[in-house]
Amino acid sequence: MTAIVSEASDSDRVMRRAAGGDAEAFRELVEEHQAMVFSIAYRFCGDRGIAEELAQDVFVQLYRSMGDIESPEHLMFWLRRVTANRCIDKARRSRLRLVPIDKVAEPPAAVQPSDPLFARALREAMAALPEAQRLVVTLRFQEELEPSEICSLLGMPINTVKSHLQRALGALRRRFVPDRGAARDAVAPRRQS
Amino acid sequence: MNLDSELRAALRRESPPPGFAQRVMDRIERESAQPARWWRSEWLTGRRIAAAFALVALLGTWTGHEIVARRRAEGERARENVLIALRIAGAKVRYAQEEVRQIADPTEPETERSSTP
Amino acid sequence: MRPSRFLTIAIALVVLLPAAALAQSAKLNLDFGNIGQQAKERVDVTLDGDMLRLAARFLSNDDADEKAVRDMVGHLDGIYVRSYQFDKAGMYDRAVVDKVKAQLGAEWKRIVTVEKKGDENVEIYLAMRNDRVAGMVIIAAEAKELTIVNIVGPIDIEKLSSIEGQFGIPRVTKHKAKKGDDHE
Repeated sequence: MTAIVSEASDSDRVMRRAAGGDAEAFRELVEEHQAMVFSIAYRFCGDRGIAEELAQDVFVQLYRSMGDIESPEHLMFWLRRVTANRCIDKARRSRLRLVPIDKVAEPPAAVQPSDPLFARALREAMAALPEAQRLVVTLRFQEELEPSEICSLLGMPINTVKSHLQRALGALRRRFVPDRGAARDAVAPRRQS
Repeated sequence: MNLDSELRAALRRESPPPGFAQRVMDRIERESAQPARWWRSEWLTGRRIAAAFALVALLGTWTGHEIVARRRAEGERARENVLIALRIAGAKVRYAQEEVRQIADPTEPETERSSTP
Repeated sequence: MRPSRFLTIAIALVVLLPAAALAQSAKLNLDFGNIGQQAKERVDVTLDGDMLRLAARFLSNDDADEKAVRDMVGHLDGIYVRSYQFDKAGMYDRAVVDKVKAQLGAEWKRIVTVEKKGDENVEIYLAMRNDRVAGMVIIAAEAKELTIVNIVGPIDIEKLSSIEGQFGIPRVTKHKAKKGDDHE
């Protein structure tokens, strides 16, 4: 308990120093949150170069807006929201659109759930989802946010968030589950044992 | 297959390329070089204070200073209000555009009725 | 008064009066009485032309996003927003929406309607004069939320729709920490 309080106050202290113009403290914030921001951007645009550029933009904007940040929790919310908004902006401006899901190459037959190759095939299929669905799925499964939190983060009605999730999961399931019937049967007992 | 857990495993956070934080700091330094140096330099901070005193002296009276401060507060408040108003308006327009776009794009979730008369 | 000066003033009046009248016609009465008293959250923004010009002076010229907003509001004559969020459905009188629509004369054209059962309904109207946009009204009504936006002047919808993305500075009201968020 003590450790948690201490961590919270440490984050708070670093944040306050960063807001006061301390470059080292700001760098600490960047290092602490870079993986989150970069990964949301990377899952959305599927290109490490573009994702890095987008993540840099987010942190540069954060530097200018540090005075508005009120707490470490607010910082997390702010970073996720601004990253999501920048992703949507980027897609709108460049009409960044990846291949439709039915054009994504089939995963090799030997690949089974929990294999690294399966994870890769899943990521590729996810990258082919429509933009909004991709973003919602990333926030749900990478950031482990509840639909209500995603709704507040993206400014979307809750029903729209749920509908995006259902459609995305439906598309992924249609893609992987029927073809994986045999693999699933083979994997399930092994997992239980 | 449990798709939820497979997705959680597949979508673990990834680190950006090495040196990311340094590149961010370099960019910030580059983009805000002047204000940053200006802010850090004690000499210039001293000049800023002197300039502020000079400005007050030029304004002549405390009343004059009050007017300026009030005007600035009003301006900042107006600026905040503009940003809030446009953010709300922008969000609603974007929501409408998104719904209309979903009708045009069958891969997006359907609305029950959206139209552009 | 010399005849030439009189002529100049007369021409100026002929040119400027219709513009002023047009600007007036795009401004709606958004006085809804005490609707806001029952609201859980409310946003009430009233910015006339003078306030917009004052605000524009405080928007940064160095920041590309703020500069875009500055360019946009520099040409506007007013921005008025009334937004209310309620605890429960049905806490506001739907007649408020009708009151707004009743003010939309012949120059107003509805450009978008989004209707979703149990969800947000949005209508966007533009005031057109000589094929140019002279104002905009957004009516967003759902069970627990009502938002009316009235923008007076030549507004660019595309630019407006990009605003939220650019200024995605979130509200502080709804957020909570997730386990393991802070440490990679």
